[in-house]
Amino acid sequence: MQELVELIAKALVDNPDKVHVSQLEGEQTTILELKVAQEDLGKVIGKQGRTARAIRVILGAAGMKLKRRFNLEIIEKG
Amino acid sequence: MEKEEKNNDIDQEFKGRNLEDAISLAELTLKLPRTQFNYEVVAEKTKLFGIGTKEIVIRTWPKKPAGDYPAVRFLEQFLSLYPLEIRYQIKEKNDMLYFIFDGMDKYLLLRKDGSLLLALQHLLNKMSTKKVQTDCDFFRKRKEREIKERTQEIAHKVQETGENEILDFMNPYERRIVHIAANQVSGITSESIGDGFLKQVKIFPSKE
Repeated sequence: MQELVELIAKALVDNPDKVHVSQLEGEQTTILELKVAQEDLGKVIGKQGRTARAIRVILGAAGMKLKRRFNLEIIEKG
Repeated sequence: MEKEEKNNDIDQEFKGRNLEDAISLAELTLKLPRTQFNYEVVAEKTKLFGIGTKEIVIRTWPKKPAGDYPAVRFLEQFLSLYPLEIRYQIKEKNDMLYFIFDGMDKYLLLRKDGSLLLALQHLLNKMSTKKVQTDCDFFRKRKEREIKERTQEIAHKVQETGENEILDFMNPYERRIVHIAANQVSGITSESIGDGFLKQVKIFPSKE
C-alpha cells in the first residue's frame, strides 16, 4: 500500500522526488505517513481536503478487501 | 504530453428505427464495415408526438485504443498495485475521457453512493488535461434518474403547499440535475445556497 500512496502522491505533486511514504504496521491498522515538499502540500490535500479524502476513500476500499485499516497521515514538515 | 487525435468523422450519432437500421446508416455514412468502429446505444425512445414510432440513436467512435494519456498510464500502474479486481474501458468523446469500470470488485466502487468511483475520478482529473468521467454499471444514469425523480416529487409538493424545501448538500453535477428537474415543474424554481463545493438547493415557488 506504501507503493500505491507513493504512486498517487507522485502523480499529484510538482516535486515527485520529494515524496516519501513510510508504513507503520499496527495490530489491525497500517499507518501510512506521507511527506511531500512544503509547496506541494496543497496538491495532496486539495481544495477543502477533497484530494486527501479521495486517497482515504481509495485506502478504505482496499482495507475492505484486505480486512485491514489503512490510515493516511499527511505530515507537515516543521 | 497528450497526443491529440481528432477523429471527428467517426465520432458521430446515427438514428434509426431499430439497431440494425442505425448501424447500417453508420456503415453507409462512414464508409466502414461495422467491425471497424465501436458503437453504443445512446438513446432508445418512443417519439412523443410521432404516433408511437420508435427511434434508436447510436454513437460511433473509432476502434483504436486511447492515446497515451497520463491519466491512462497512471491508472494502469495504479491497478497493478491496488488489491481490488477491477478492469476498465476507455471511451473518448468530444474532449472528455470516460473510464468505464467493471470486474469482480466493482461493488466496492459503487458502495457509499459511488464514493470510490468518484474518488478515482477526482484523482484522474488532477492528472489529465482532458476532463475525466468515471462510470460503472450505469451508476450515472441511475443516479441522474434518482435525483430527477426525487426533485420532481419535492417540486410538486412545493407547488401544492407553496412552502420552500431545502435539499441536502450536493456536488455541482448533482445540483445541475436538480435545477433542470425543478424548473420543469411549472411555477417552481430553484437556487443553490451556501458556498463551497457542496451546496444545498432551495426549491421554491417562482414569483411572477
